[in-house]
Amino acid sequence: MKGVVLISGSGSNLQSLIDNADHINLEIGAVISNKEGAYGLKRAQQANIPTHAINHKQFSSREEFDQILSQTIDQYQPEIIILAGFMRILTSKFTQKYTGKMLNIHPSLLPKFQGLNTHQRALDAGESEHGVSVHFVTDELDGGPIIAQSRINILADDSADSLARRVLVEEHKLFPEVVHWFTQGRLILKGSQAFLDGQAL
Amino acid sequence: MRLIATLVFLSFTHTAAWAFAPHIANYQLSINGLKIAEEVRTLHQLEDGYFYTANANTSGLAAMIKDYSIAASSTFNINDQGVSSVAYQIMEQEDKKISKSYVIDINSQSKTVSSQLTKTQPKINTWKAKKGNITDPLSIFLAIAFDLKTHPKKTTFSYQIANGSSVETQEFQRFNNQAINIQGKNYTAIKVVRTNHQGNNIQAYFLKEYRYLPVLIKQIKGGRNYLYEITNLKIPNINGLQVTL
Repeated sequence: MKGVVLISGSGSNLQSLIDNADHINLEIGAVISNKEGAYGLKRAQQANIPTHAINHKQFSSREEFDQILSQTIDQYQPEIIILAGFMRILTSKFTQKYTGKMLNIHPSLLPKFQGLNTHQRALDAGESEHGVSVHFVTDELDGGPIIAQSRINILADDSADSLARRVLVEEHKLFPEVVHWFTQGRLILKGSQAFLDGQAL
Repeated sequence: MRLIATLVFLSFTHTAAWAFAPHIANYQLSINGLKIAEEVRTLHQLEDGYFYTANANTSGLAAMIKDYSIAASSTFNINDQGVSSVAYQIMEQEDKKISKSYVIDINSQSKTVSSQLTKTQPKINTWKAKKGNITDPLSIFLAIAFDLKTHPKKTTFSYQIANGSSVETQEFQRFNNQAINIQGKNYTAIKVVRTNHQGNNIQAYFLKEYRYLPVLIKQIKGGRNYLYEITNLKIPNINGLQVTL
């Protein structure tokens, strides 16, 4: 299945998708970043995947940026759009256009800790466990239907960095698996509910 | 002219030089004398600003009646006018269900506040603010603390506070050398009173020796007496200060 991956940073989740691409039946048509210096673009280039850097700061509004982003995505006619550490809030118009075929990975056990600094917030809140969620993207901030989560225990001596590292390991396992469900046609969005093999998640 | 320039420079550097110390402060919330909840406020220093979180959960008898929690966070920085918020979010949960979820982005330079879509904020709103810094409901007390420290002779303060449903201006007045009692111990504090909310005013007490942090907050709202009292403060970078009040 043809897909486009959106990133903003180092692209470690992108790398796990590239490494697993054959196994999960994913053909990454392009990688797009809103930051020109994102290391993930190099990872894509090393894998001979076309890249685009669209600097959001060059646009006067979110709408303008999303329009160009959408045009770039559509060149590749993807069936799945994967947000792998894409740190940009998308407009409702954009998310509605790709409803049901856009997935995001978020480093928290949603609905807890939407937004940024999730690891520090989990520590500050005295949580005993933390983790990662993959969800369909809707126009709510990290609020679309949850597909899958992976949990880890928070250790007494955990810092935000150590927690982030351990959650990242889970991200690299979970995201390719969920993408595979989608590419197999087993995962779909109906209304505001995710279904896997016909069962509501 | 050179003297004025020097004074302005010194004034600015004095203001900018003072920084908040990362800390963890525990508070007890009581309503009409009944202990209701415990809250932990944690301040982190970032490369380009601060990240401040507050997590409250019902405790004691109240927890048996209702499982209620609040998780809020504020990202802010300090400029020559004081605390300037960048983002604020709050999520309230009752019996594990989200009852309120607000996320707002704050831009003091463009004088705008805009919301993100969440479960309880189904429409994007944008509010215009006046010129000057904008704070939020969480960082406001640090904004006051900053001004108490950096403007020791100033007695009135005004803040624009963005809370997810509006941007409102709140006025505060300072009173020095106020005797207070916390957990049975006496302290001399700086009292700050909100003056432009009749019948819903806040009295907050700040201790100079605790980096001007708020130690006691009183509010009468809807006929109820709300009391926020600090129970523990840990400032790791200031001689490992840890006090249990």
